[in-house]
This record gives sequence, C-alpha cells and structure tokens, in this order.
Amino acid sequence: MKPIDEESLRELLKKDCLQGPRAALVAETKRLMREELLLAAEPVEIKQKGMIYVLAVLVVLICLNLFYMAAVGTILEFALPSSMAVFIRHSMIGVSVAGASLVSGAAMLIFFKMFQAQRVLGTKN
Amino acid sequence: MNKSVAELDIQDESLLVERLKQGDPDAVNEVVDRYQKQLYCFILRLVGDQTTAEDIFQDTWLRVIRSIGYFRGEARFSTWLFQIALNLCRNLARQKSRRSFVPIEEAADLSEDPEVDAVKILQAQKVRKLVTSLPVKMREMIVLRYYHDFSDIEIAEITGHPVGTVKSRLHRATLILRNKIEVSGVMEPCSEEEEENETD
Repeated sequence: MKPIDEESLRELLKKDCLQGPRAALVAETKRLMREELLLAAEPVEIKQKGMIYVLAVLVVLICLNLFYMAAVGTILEFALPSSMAVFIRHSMIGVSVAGASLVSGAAMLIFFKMFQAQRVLGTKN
Repeated sequence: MNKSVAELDIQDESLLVERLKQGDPDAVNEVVDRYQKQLYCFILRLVGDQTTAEDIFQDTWLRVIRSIGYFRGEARFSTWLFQIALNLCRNLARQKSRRSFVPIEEAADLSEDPEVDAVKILQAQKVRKLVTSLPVKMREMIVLRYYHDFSDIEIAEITGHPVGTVKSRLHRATLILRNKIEVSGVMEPCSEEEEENETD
C-alpha cells in the first residue's frame, strides 16, 4: 500500500461531507441577529448622547469657573474691603479645584470604560 | 463545491464587517449565507450531536452580532468567527465534565445524502470514526486544516495556541491519523473505485 500523502489525506477526509444547517434554523438565526442588531444600535446611541451632555455640562462649568476667576474675583478684590480678600482667594482656589476634579474624573471614566469594553469581549479582536 | 472559508475574498469580508458594524440588516443575510455551511459543519464535527450543534451555531452568530463593534480587524473575520464557535464548543465540553465531544455511535448518521452511494457513505463514516477517535485538541487541528483549509497562523489564532504548538500538534495528529487509516484500510475501497474510474 502506498504511503498516504498530504493531498490524498485531504481528499479522503473531504469525502466525509456533511450537510449544512436546516433552512428553518438559518432563518431563525437571521431573525434573532436582526433583532440583536436593533437592540445593539439603541444603547450606543443613548450612551453617545449621554457623553455629549456630560461634556457640555463640563464645558459650561469650566467657562463659569474661568469667568469667576477672571472677572468676578478680580472685581470683588477691588470692591470688597481688604479683610475679605482672603475669602475671595480661597473661593477662587476652591472653584478651580472643583473644575479640575470634574475634568480628571471625566477623563478617568472614559479611560476605564474603554478598558472595560476590551475586557468584556475577552478576545484580541 | 463550496469555497473553503480560507479561500473567501478578504476584501469582501472586511466590507461585510463594516456593513454589519453600521447595522445594515442585509449584511446579516449575506454574512450568514456566506459562512453558514462551513461554520455548522465545523461545529458538528466537534460536538457530534445535531441539536447541540444547532444551539452552538445560533449562539455563535448572536455573539458575533453582539460584539461586532469590538472587532478591530487585526485578524480575519472568519478566524474570529471560528474562534467564537470553538470557544463555545470547548465550554460545552468542559460542562460535560471532560467527556470527549463526539460519541462515535451518535455521529454515524450525520450525512444522509441519498445521491451518495453506499460505499462512499461507509467510507465517510469510517473516516469520521477515525477523526473522532483522535484526542480533542488534535481533532480541532485536523478539522481546521483539512476540512476548512486554514493556515498554521490562522489555526493558531482560532485555537489560541502558539504557531509552534499548532505545527507540532498538527504533525502528530496527521501521523496518528495516517497510521489509523493504514491500519483500518479505509483507503482501499477508494483506490479500487478510482481505478474503475480511470479505466472508464
């Protein structure tokens, strides 16, 4: 008997030909996939909208913070008695710290959400 | 005859994936039509039982659609698809507490095409028995290489083993399978038939 080479082994194995899935199973699978597709599209849209709102609120807060520091704080420093200057400086620092905390919090949130998405899938792709 | 998964056009594949990512429902039909037979046969060869294969087939596609957004295209879509199916098959095998995927007796009536003559059916059944008698990890390699024509690198991506391991395991599996074929004499009716065809 001849030794079996790569090609004849392949040919022999391919003689064991199986039939594909039932048409009903394929149709049902497609229907379920289309439903999943619709379900998957909605939360993404909602999440994206949520992110936009968060960013808009952050921008407004930072603008108010800058406005307070640049305008109100400066004016108050001139207008109020010198004994109150320390409160104004503290409030300016406080507002700046709050703004910085919000921005760094949002950055961390985005970073960890991306990291989580990769882990949930559990594969390279 | 259907093209093997490895032979399918890569460009078309990536276009199809993009359409899926954009939520095109027609892409669902196309992608399922394109891979259904190959994927189903792959699962069936590993699990052996038709009902289980159908469940895993459906589950694989649902997982694909749920996580298509995370598919970055570093590997081919087909390897990713087979990777998901293989993981589901492995999970099932683990749940069945280290039982081998395919009880040979159950696998005996998988292909029932009335147009195929009895000799071929018998030979196909013998071949299937030989393949299913291999250890699970070797069977995975044989199925991916010989039934689906995947390259070593693609098999490594699908199975999650290094390419070196794939090569050595595939080599050993092929040797064992060849020995089994020679001992069982499965090749003999085939060669007689071929001789008849040649004389015709």
